[in-house]
Amino acid sequence: MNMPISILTVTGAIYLISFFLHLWAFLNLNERVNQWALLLVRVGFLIHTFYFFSESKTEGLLIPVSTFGQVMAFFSWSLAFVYLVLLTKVQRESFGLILSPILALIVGTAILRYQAGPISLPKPLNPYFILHLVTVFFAYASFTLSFVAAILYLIQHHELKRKRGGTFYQRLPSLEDLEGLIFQPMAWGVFLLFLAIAIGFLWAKSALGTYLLREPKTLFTIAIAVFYLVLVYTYYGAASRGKRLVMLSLIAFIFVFLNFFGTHFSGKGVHYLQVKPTSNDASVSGLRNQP
Amino acid sequence: MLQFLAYGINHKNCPVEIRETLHFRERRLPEAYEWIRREWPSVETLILSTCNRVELYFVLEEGDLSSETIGDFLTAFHGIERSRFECFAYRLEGRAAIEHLFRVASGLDSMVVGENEILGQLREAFQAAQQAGTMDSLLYRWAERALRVGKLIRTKTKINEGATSIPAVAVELAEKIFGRLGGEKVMVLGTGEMSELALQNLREAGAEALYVMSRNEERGRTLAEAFGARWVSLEDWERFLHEIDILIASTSAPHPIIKLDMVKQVMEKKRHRPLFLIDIAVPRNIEADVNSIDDVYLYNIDDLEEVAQANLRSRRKEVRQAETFIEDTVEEFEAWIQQLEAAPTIERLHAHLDDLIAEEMKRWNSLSREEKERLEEFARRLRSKFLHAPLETLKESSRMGMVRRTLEAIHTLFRLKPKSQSERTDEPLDEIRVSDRNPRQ
Repeated sequence: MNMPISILTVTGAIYLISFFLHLWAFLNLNERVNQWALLLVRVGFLIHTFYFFSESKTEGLLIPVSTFGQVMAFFSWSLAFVYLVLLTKVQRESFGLILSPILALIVGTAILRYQAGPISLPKPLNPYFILHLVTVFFAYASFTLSFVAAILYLIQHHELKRKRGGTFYQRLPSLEDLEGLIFQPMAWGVFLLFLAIAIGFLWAKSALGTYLLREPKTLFTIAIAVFYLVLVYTYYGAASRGKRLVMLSLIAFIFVFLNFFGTHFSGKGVHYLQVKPTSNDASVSGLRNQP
Repeated sequence: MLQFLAYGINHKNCPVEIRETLHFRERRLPEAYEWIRREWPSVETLILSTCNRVELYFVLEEGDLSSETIGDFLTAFHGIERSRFECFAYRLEGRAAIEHLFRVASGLDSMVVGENEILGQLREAFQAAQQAGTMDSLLYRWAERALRVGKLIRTKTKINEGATSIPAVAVELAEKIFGRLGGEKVMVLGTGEMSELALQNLREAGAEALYVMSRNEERGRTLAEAFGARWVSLEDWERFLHEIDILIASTSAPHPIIKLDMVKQVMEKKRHRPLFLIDIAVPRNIEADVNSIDDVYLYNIDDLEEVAQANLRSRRKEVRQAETFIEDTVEEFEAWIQQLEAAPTIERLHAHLDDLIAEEMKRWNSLSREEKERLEEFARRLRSKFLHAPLETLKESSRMGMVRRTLEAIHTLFRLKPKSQSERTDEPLDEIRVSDRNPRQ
């Protein structure tokens, strides 16, 4: 097992242990265990960050995304970053309970696909491209957190309808707070996604001489961004609320999911992350030398 | 030797009429303390008197305070025969008494586990005893520790979480829907006692009373005015439904007055902002189907009761964790008492060495001033180095609860002067932990 995989394995294991601790804390209403669980997620994130920087140095890439495993590792890192650094107020046991297994799952996928061979990244890997990658990954991470909040909203909604009190009812935040936690990251995500689209256009025009408007992923991403924008407007602008809006946010996330993973299986277009036959491919070696 | 004592009656086995009679009313409390100061001048005393318990906490440095003596005081003060309450009274000593006060402060001994009120009542009792001058350093420390552990447990566990009364559950549910209440608009249908109580709780939590509907205009207007709301008539109230967030229904109508279609239309107007309906009327005022509408949360009296019971069950789960905090605090408090007991021996050991040094120094009168100073410096250093190990051992054994053996050893080894009553080391360590019958079981 090479070094990056070992580090990721430790990270994934810590996220997984954190999930079990979150679960224990949740079921037993144990605040002390919950604090330990949150601490473990933070430790996992630190190790994950160490992996990120060490890989970045080894690969010679600012963002190490030259294999599908690395893409997944970067996505899970972005997700943990948004959760732990940007959204400190959502670090509640209920969020950790849902998010820690998601993190463990994505890191697990990253480990499994780590040695699948390099993917062909479009060239050139200039700052526009890097910025496009960063914004789009952070946008997806924000949507994932919004999705987690939406799941928690539905659970709390169900609990309130069921009228039995109980652990979920007590542990989960109020519906109003959860709505805030759905739409705040969503608003960031919309902003970041539009930014990513704009930067992507600039990069495509400079690199390929076209805005790639006809590319399915581009169209799909724009549609998703508009869909999310409408949701954000409906919440903040038209002051509409309720379960229906939350359900729509879940549908939006399903599209995000399909957009993110669907591209990998589409088999065509600049966004298709094609796995190259050998790891010593010249173009990738060339990319690695880029600053 | 030090004696910690608790004597009292509580809700667990003592009927309310006895508790009422033994209750120390606020205005008579100074009189009671005055009596205690006069009759038992060397006893530190704290009286904790609430609707669920009447307890007296004592600390005695020497002597004893029998249950009969305390009973006589209660009899004389309240004019109640001792035989009427004696069978319900409990007396706890040493560790059991210390632990009991900690449990009381933590709400573990309360009727509703984890309730917050007792902490405030204990704080008031603490202040009253302080003002009356019946509290010295030992009882002060004991009560202060109790207040501290009570607060700690409420912070570190969830023992006080979850409402357990109907009006409080209504507020809790409203907060689970709307978050922290701040200006949510409330309408009340009917002017029953329970609806008024629920409205009062909601308003205290931050909601805003907007409309009161009552068939009886005078009563409706009175209630509306009391809460800064507006009275609406039986014909008019439906028009305002879309403006409100919380509705409390408690009319005496024989059929539901809020129906499914009506609420559906209201929700469209409200753009699906949540609507919390509290139906505390019997027969019910709101059709049960209304709960099937998204973003509408309908709770009748049984539902509210169910939530209250669930919360109570959750609180009970926290008891074990709370008990570990209490155990730690009792250990810590006992170690402190033991250190306190060791203090005179330490002083005596210091004095003993000082005497030895002074005696030896007399032999060196012929030395020059400079040489004398150097010798004194040498003696000081030797003295502190010599004492270091036994003092550390004493501290350690205080923490381990074995201070008495160490004190005994020090007394024997150094042949210290005879000990006072409060330092007797020939008594077992458990003397301070005597636990009598515990009626809490």
